[in-house]
Amino acid sequence: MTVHQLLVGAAPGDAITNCARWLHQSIAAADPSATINARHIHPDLAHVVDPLDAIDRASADDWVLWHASIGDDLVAEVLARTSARIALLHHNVTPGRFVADLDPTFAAELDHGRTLLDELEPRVERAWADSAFNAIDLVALGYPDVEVARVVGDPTWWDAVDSRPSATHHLDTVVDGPFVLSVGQLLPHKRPELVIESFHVLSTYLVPEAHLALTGSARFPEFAAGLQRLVVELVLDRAWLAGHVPDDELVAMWRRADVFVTCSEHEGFCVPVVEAMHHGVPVVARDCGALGETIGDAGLVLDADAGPELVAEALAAVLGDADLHAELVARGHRRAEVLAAEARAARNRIVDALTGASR
Amino acid sequence: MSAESDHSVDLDAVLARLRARVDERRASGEYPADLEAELARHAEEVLSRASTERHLDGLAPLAEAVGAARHFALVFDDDDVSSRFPGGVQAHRLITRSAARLDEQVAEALRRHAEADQTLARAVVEEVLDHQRHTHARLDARLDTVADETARLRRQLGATEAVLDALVARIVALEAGAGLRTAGPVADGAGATVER
Repeated sequence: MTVHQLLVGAAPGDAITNCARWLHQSIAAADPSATINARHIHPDLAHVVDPLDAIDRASADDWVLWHASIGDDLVAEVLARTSARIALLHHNVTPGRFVADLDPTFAAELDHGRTLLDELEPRVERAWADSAFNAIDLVALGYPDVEVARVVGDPTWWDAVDSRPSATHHLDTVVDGPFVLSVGQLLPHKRPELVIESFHVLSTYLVPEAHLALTGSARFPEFAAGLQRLVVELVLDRAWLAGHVPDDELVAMWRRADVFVTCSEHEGFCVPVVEAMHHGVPVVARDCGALGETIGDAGLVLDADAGPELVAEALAAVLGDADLHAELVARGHRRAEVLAAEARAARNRIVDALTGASR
Repeated sequence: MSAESDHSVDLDAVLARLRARVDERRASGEYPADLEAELARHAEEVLSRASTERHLDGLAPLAEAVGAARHFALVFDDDDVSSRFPGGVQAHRLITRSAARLDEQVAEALRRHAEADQTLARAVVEEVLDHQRHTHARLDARLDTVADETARLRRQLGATEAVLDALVARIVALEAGAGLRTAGPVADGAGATVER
């Protein structure tokens, strides 16, 4: 009996890939023949992730742990013809409407992801969701027995990452005021333009010396170009679209950051929130998707429809009120520890269920 | 979300205070009326422009592809005109020549069609891209306004400086007449010039 994890894409820094690799460490301890398989494999991960062939060779005793996030024809075919037992870990599927204007093909793939969840429900023997928000999503699709397993929230691996000296030096010399950090892919549903608008209000009316960095890869270059143009047209010379940054640069940013902000409208969990709390950076977010659930009482969770004025006001409060800042840092540390413990427990439950091991 | 009793800061109260502060700033005019609506409209315009540009980027290559069809030419293998029948070779040659003339006429018609298509495609592309550039013109106009305003302020500043210079000259003359100290820059003990 072997466990094969199945992803559409495997790439460094991707939360789902990280989750699969983290699970694999435990699964492989009990089952050395376990594999991770993906349709699209980043060259840097070719030594740890296999193509989809292994799934076709799986026997009826094997498990395929399907990480659901996006639709893909080949992955759908592999799942449809495999004789192995299927388990599901639901990471949420972003509704296609958010990117329909930018990339109709990608929007269709996203929507296909939801269709696939619906179609495969009769074959899925075990279903986990990495947040209650995602569990509700699965139940709405007809899954009768869904277990919440917050398995993506252990940020302690960051402790082993050293910050790049050049990045630290750059931040020390260039960022001469409060530093607002936003981490997340530059995708429409994450509403980075709202972060920029909020920073405009913050730096124009409340904290002129503040700096902003938005980090995260840009799937749609034209969307990122639009954000850059927005920064230019609003004359935000202290705002900075950093794009994707490697871990050793990002950790330098986390250590320099005074507050983390996200205006995301749709999140199945939001890993950067936990990373912020782990690094002692207070969190400001809107109550959208799973954000309220992930943050708990450890951050400023604004109304779901909060606009730039309220977001800016919250950022100014965190930057200007030392007691509030300290309180949020302390609560964030506690919350990150709780989530890390939950992630480890969830990992054990999943691995035990799939390998038959008991701990 | 509610604060627990062991926390010294009540986050619900903080959130309520933040909402009230936004309302106060709006009411006092500190936040301009419709600030959020204006920011949202501006962001939507900028981002939709970026999205449109992506689609438009593909237009010019398509127009060029149509243009490449102008160089279309028919290439034929040597036709076999052999025949086992008397006069068959001559008949085949005649038919082949007629067919070739017809093919050339078709090719010429296709070339003319491609030229017309490319002219039309280029006109459409240029019109669309020109329209796209007009949206940039709005920003140019705004920048021009800023430059004009800066120049006007600079002129005003120049006029003010002239008035001040005249005043200083007048004071110097008065002081000289009264036998008082000299106004304007003087050297300090270290030899540097300081303003008094």
